[in-house]
Amino acid sequence: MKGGGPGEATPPQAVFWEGQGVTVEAVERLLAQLASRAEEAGEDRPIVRSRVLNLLVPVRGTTPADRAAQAAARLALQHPSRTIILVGDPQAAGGMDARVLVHTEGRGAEERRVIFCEQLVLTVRGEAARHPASIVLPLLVPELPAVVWWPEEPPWDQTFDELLRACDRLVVDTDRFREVAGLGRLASVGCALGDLAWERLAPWREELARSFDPPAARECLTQLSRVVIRMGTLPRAWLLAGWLADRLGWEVLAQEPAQGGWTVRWRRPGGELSMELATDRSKEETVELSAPQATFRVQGKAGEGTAFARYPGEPGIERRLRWEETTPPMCLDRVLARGSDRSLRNALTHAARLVGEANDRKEKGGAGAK
Amino acid sequence: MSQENPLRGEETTQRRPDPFILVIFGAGGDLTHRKLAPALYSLASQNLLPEEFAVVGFSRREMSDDNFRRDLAGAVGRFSRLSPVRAQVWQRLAERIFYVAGDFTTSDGYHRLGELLTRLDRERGTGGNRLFYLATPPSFYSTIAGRLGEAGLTRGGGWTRLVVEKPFGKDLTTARELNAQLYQVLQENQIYRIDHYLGKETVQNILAFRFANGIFEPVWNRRYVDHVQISVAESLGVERRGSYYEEAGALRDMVQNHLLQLLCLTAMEPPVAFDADAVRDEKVKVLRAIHPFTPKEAGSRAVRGQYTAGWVLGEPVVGYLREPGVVGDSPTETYAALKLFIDNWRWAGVPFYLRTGKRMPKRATEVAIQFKRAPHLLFSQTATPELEPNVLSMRIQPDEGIVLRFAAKVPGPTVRLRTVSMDFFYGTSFGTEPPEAYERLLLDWMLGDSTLFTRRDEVEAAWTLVTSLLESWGEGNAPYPYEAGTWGPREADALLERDERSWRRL
Repeated sequence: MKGGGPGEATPPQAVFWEGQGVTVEAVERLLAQLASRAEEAGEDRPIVRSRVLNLLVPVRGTTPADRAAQAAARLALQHPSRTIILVGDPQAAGGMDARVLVHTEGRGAEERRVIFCEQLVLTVRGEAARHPASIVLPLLVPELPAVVWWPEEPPWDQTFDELLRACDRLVVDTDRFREVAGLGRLASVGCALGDLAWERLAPWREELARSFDPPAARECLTQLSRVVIRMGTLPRAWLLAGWLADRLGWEVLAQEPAQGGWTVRWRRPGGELSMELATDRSKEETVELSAPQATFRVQGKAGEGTAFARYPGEPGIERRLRWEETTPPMCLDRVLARGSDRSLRNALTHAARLVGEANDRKEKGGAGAK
Repeated sequence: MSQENPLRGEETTQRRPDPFILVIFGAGGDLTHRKLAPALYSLASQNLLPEEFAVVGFSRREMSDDNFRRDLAGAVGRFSRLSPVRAQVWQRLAERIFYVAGDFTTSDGYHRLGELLTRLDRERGTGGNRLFYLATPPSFYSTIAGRLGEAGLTRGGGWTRLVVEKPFGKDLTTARELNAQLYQVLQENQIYRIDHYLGKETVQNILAFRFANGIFEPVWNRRYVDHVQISVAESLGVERRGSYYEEAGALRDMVQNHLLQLLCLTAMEPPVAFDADAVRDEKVKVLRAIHPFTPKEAGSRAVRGQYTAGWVLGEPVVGYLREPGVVGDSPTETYAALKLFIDNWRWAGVPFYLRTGKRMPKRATEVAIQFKRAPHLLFSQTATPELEPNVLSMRIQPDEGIVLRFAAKVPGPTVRLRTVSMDFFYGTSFGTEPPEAYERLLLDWMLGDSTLFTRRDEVEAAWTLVTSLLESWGEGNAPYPYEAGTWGPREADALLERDERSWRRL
């Protein structure tokens, strides 16, 4: 095998079995016999199954299902799994369709046939779609951790709670959240979390951290007076604000809606600062931190950008930056490669506090208008 | 304000190195082509290099920047594990590559190098950070370091790091001399001594296996372990390195570094942290606890061999004495087997058998822990003719993985036992290909992490042991012959047979 990163190599796939109007038991039996059946089907090499996790992907509709299937296949070599893509449609007439795909590759001296991914696409219609755990639980591989990945914002309803209980870990993409209120809901989830948007923020966090590696620059962190965060989506901007607040010990004082976003006043150790949070897809994404006699700025778009720093003793230095493009499979790969992410949890807690305040303000605003 | 950067800590991001210039001495050599250039390309394609970055090749041969770039492009095309080479990635790397022709021993080349570094610092924003990589014959190490110091190149305004390859000295005295010479220009934390075995994923996995799992540590000691075997077998001969090998031999070439490193990782106490000093402190303790060789013991605890003509992998091969660059009656050993004892509470009385050789039947590296037999066997000996003791084998290469051997009942109405194995293979458990050792090492020295490099006291402790054996062997002690394509001389088998043990079949 050549190549490395997710998305570069996908083991060959084959549709192994397809059936309409099937039962969970039939699918379960089929999966249990997968290896021996493949051998019967003329595969002369020994078959090994490699899997380190269960990946459950709830989606709505066939296009998102195909997209999720492709993403999961790209992860097969990094994170061999049993992937269950659950297409729920409670409005349609009942019945369940199933499709099983396997991704295999020859490995080792004996060219053992290794199954790196067994992918199960289940289309569940009717009332059963409201009880997804009853379908998923029998199909999870015992002993292995189960991760549920919602490519879109989760519905936050009873099906969400049910699937969450069946799994050990929740992965979302807060960039796909319709509004920041979702951050508050996410923060209240008890299990381990992962977030693709948080991975997209990783180079920003690294560059910001790096700006403050020189001790003289670090001194300025206690004197910050103004912060501007302009990101492609508002949830991501809030998340980054939450991260800064957590790391630097800030507490929300006040906030109000402004054009294209919010302005927030924070209490920081030894003083206060104002923050502008905005979303703007057309311009470069920017994070700028200012203190008297100091400016730190990281900005960029489409993988390229600059980091600028000016502080006492440093008249102004600009570094060019280049970021890797991050596709959903790449972000998911990083999320899965890591255990529970405490810094995400902490950032989210602070972002959620902002959400809470924002909701209070909306309610108060509503009452005032009345 | 706290000392730490509050935006760092419990890192969830891959840290990228600071801006710097990499200067490769001996840029036209094999190592640059086979290892460095492909590793640089791999890091570039994973976007792990900083934007402000440059590579400067330094070598005797006259060459333009463009020719050097073409030269490296060819090397990447041939040796990179990532293929096809992505033109865009290579282009971005290539425009950061430069070349200076110069003699290692005279100062004018260093002046031209200095001018180029200053210019690159200005144009590329590399901030005076320099990494000097010595991919030259070891005889040039101290000269180059001295010249760099004289030309003021080790004080570039940023950090300076120096990387040296093995062999580091050829005995304790020369290793100490070399350390002293490097210390005239640099400090210990600026010197990175490579042992590329430590960059191998499977070698690092020895630590992960031992210290990330709770169930093995309790049995990892003299109460449960019968003995340990560490083997590094090569099917290759000395190839084109005959004249180098004549000076070295298996003991210096393999045992002093790779085998003793494997032994340290297998035998060390748990370090208090996974950082450079904590890990290396524990390794040094192991080396210092190894019982040294007295002249009398050298014969009974060590065996040296030299291959004669034979067949390897279906091809006829010549004997060592007929290899190019080898003296007709050379006493150099191409095989060494050692029996070592570690004098501490954990390992007292447990033999560690080490062996390495060239022209063995196949290439294989492994560390095998053989456990003591069950104290009392319930099942009749006749029912269990082939029952072997439990062995935990950590395979470094090829077929990377871990195998645990144990007894199981053969299905049927009678109690018959048979040895079976529980296998873990990297290739089937993780689908991704592990990075090359040099990729990891390159990244570590760019980031200034010296955990996987050997420290001065470590090198010297290893040499102390090896030198005691070299001196005991002394002059005129001829190696035992073994036919190419066999597992070493008969005397090496006898070394274990005396203890009622035998070498494992690799």
